[in-house]
Amino acid sequence: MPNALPRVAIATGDPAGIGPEVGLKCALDPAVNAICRPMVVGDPLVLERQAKAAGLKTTFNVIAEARDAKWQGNPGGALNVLSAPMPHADQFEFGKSGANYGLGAIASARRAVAAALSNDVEAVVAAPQNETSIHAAGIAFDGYPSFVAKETGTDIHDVFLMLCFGERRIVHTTLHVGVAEAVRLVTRERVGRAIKAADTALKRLGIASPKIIVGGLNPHAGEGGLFGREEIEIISPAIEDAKATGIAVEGPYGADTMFPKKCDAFVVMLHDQGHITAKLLAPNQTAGLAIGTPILFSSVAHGSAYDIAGKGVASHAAMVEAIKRLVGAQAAAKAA
Amino acid sequence: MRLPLALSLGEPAGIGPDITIKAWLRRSKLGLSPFYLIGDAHHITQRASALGVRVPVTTVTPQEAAAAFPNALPVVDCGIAVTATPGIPDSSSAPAAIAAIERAVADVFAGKASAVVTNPVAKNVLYKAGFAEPGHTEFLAKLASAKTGKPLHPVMMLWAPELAVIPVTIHLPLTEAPRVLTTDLIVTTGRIAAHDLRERFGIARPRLAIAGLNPHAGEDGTIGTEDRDIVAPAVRALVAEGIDARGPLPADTMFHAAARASYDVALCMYHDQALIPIKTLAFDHGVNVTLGLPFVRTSPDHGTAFDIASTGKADESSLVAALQLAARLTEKPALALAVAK
Repeated sequence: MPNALPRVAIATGDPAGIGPEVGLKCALDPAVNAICRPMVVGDPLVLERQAKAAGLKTTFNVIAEARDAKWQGNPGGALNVLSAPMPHADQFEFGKSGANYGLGAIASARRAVAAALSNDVEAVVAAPQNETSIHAAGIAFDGYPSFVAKETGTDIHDVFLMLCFGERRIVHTTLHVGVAEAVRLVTRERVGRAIKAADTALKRLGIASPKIIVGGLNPHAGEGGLFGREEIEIISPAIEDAKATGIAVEGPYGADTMFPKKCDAFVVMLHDQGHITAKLLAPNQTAGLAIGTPILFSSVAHGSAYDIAGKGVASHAAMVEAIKRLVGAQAAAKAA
Repeated sequence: MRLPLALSLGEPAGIGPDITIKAWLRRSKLGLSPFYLIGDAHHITQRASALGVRVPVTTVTPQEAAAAFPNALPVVDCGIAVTATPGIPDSSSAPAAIAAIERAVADVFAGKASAVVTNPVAKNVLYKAGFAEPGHTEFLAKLASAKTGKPLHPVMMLWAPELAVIPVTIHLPLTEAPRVLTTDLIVTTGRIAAHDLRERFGIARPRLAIAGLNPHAGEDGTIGTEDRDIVAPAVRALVAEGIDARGPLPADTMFHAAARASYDVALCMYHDQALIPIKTLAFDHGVNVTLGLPFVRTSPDHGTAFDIASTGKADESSLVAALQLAARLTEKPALALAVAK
């Protein structure tokens, strides 16, 4: 009988940070192997260095193409490692940033996404990258959601970050842009696309009739126009548009008082409105789904943590959480 | 006997009367310091019977309030009859609400009350009645300036045992926040925060954590330039004055327990950045404290909640916390009072 567990590619992110260690720990974790078949994507030399430093086993089945993975291998057998080389990996150092590290990080994410597009895996989870290294490599990058959009040929305006923790989910209408720029980006169309992406993603996660709550841009959601008119002129019309298409959505509510409300996902306007909440309520167990793309893709909400890279002490809890989310979503998609 | 706290009427059609009554009913259990309501005895008596609770109400002078407090809810008459119907915003009650604030400030300056505690007002209702100040805080500063002859810069701080935050820009459209935010404004706010945390809260060397305006504190100018060009120079200026200030820090990683243990107050650059963490950590017991005034002023950190006025559903926790904090901050001699984490 063929193994029915979903195949998950783990992009190990910034080679110099805790990503490779966290990814390897996940791939070797029996709890993870009980729910999926993991494959690690990264530079084989870097992964070996990281594994040794963390006291993890280094029996790798290094492959050049995702389709060559040995998915039926014995439990405890060699770990599938899809090679995504980092230039000059022999000069690798823990906690170092630079162009080569940025190229390595992008390579692992790119190859993992490609594996999902070619149906060699069902989902991708990505370890943190370091934006400084990626920029040093001359690559424009403002977070995984837009990266996944580009790699999958999706309109960049249709992809949004959904942070997931516990029973809560928060979709971000704008992400890594300054507040002044974010205000300009909050249009009726964009808010509408965020609501629609949330509704589609929730249904894909197995929620048949999702309920969505939208937060305001201004203090107290504008307080009837007293502190800004975007709620009246942009956000409320976008909510009405979505309702007209059958989506169960309400708001806008003041972002500071709405989070105790019951719903399947909140849609916020700004990075900090969602991230402050998520990091307070679930400091180390937040998964970030890039929603609106054809593939299932999740990142983790922590960073590269150079201070503990190569020490073997990094927690892989957040990535396990992300994998659980992806596997749950995949099961729901299959059942539908 | 210690001076009582002066509690202003607030919006009489909102939940202010409800939470005042509920707080008074818990006076013995919580050991509340005496307070008196500046309002209308008839109005509060009516609200108590609407709520189905027996509350003896007595009209007093501020000097009689503390002695009356154990046995009756003391009311100092604001001089204007209150006619509001619960749940219905009605600007005819605005003069009484405004008179109550003025009376509270006058009582503190006259040495009859130890501090001002205000019930929530409805800004829209006051504006319709011709009220020209943006809000309570600015009005109090204006009244205090008139008394002292000195210009004042009031600073709103939201305080709970878990966290203290100051939104440097507050009730304005978000599109204006980056324009209003200046190095001077941050420095002035930080200076007042450091001063009042030292003088009123008894923290010998207050530690200020200053958030960036933009995500990830702007990442060296790649996500908006304000953090590099406006916030960072403000932090340097505060440090140069000998104030323990750090920043600009990414706001999303400032508020977990370990981070909070490293500072006494967080300065945030806009409303939601400050209000989201305090509402998340202290939904029902945050207190609004005005810094930069010549007296102590606290208030609950919620609004008038017209929809639940006179239903008995209003939660008095925030008003109770405001009364307790005002009492602690005015105890003589000033207690060494650290912001507990």
